[in-house]
Amino acid sequence: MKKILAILKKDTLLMVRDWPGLAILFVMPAVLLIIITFTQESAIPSRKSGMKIAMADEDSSVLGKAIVRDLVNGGYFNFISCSREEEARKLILEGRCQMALIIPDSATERLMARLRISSPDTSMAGIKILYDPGVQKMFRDAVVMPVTSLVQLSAIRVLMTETRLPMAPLFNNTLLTVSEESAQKRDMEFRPSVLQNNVPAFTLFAMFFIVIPLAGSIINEKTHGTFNRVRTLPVSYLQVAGAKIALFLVVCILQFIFLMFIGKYIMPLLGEQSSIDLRVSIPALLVALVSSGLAATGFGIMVGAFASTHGQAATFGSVMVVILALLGGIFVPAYMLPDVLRKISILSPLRWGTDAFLGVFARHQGIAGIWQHIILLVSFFIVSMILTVRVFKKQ
Amino acid sequence: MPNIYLWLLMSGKVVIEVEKLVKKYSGSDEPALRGIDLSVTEGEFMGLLGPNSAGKTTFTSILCGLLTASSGSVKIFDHDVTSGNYAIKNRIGMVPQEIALYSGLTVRENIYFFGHLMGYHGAALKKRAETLIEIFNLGEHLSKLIHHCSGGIRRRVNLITGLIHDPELLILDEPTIGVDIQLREMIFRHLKEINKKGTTIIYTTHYMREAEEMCSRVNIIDHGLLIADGTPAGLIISNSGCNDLGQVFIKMTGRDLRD
Repeated sequence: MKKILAILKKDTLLMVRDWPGLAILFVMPAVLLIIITFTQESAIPSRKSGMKIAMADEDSSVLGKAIVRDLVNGGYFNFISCSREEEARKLILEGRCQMALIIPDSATERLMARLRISSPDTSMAGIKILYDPGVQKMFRDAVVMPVTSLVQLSAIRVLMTETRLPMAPLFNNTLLTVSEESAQKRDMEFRPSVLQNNVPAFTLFAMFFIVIPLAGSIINEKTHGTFNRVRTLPVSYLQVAGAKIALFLVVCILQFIFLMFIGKYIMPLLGEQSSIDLRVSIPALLVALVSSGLAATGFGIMVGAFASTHGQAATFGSVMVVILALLGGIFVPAYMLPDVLRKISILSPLRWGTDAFLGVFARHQGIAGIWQHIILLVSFFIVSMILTVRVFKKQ
Repeated sequence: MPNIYLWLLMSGKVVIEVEKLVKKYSGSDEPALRGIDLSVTEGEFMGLLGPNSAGKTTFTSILCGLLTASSGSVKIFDHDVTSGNYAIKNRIGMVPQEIALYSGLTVRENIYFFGHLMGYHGAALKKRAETLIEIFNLGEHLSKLIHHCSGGIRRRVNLITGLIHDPELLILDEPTIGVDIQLREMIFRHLKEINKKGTTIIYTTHYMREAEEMCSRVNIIDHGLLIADGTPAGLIISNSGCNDLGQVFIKMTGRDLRD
């Protein structure tokens, strides 16, 4: 035990004195958590996002005014008012807005004409949406679809009002309500938030990033000769690895506490409205945390054993963590991945960790609900350690 | 075999007993060691000489437990260490040629770390560390990080960490590479002193004068075989035309470069 404590003290001193390594472990995931949480919230075009839509009402009559009023009152987007289509095009080309809605001259007239003449030749009132070619299709669709629905609704409302149909007043109010509700735990006042998903996800990402300092410390020992020197001493692989595992497991737990603190107390100060609900199963949380930490530590030690230079470990380690994170649902939920990638993603330890944390934080599950993920994480750790010992013995 | 060795073998306790030791690395056509037989008795100061790639490091690595033998047997303190030497590691001290220290730790932290791993703790470790720190005059450098220390200080700490547990068998791999004459004298003085007290020493070096001055016995290894074994004076006398160990070495191993 005293030998393990001596190795633990040595590794702790070396880690504490390595400031850049510590920054990678704590500051980097905190920055990622903050930036990505805010980015995700503004990634869908909305009033919160920076996307601006110009609106040119060339009609200036009943329909034009109704569309403008409904869109502005809807509060979905940031609108800039302009008078003509040419001005809207100029605003887009100058980069001052990304899209524009053009309500053409005499749109009201043409709408009303469709009521009077049922000829197919009658031209419809064509509302036009202009866009900057640099705007990605997914963002264009996110604007076009709700705008089209709102415009259609405005047109119906105008028709009802202008033709004085008896049911017209109905269209000035909400006809029915649509609400959302979690499929689980109806008795709890629990609403999953962006932070509820992001804090555990980025903790997991940060945990696996210990591959860089951990593999680096092993490579340092190999290249400086201390690894071989320790092998000439009465110390077993288990004692050397045990101390490293214990230290980095503590680091993983500290990363989790640090990111929880950021999510709970710092994010609200930065303007984040959602918060983290910590009414979770503590045993399940601890088991998920420790098993994820073990998997991350095992991965780091294995990379350190296989790599022979810092460059190899840093490049392979960081690229692998990003790939495993992408597959694991850290940045994009795994259920959103294409079929092939979704099938591959079940091999990613970050996916197992994400599923375990989502079970604890979003679905409020206990150990019974996440045990499959825990077994996978612990098995990954055991396999990593077996491979590591084999490589060391061969070397 | 000179009479003195017969006497030593008869009278002294055998510390190292090597028989038909062969080491072949995977992927290599030629074995690095091709059947070494050697016996080292307690209190000997044995120089292991040889050109580059002769097999010295392979041999000492097997003694230290860093490598396992392909065939043959190696016994240290009567323990078969052919496939590892865990049980007697705390009786062996190893001072590698490279500075194998933690550059992010201080001089004191390195010394105490290796002491702890050797099983020394508390007052016993403190006493032993202070003695060595005084002998090697490191008192004013204890709080310096290794990567801020000069080459000479690092070399001294490297030596101390191999001596911290007062080993019965000390294996030194070229411990005087790159050190000035003052430090070399200091190292020699201490090694002679502990050898007098009974520590058995295996000393590899490329400096023939060192071997001549320090060692009671010299072995020359080349192409994985022991090609000479005797006292320095005995080897010089038995090789006609040679006036020192360097000439004996050249005569036996040739002038061709090895790597």
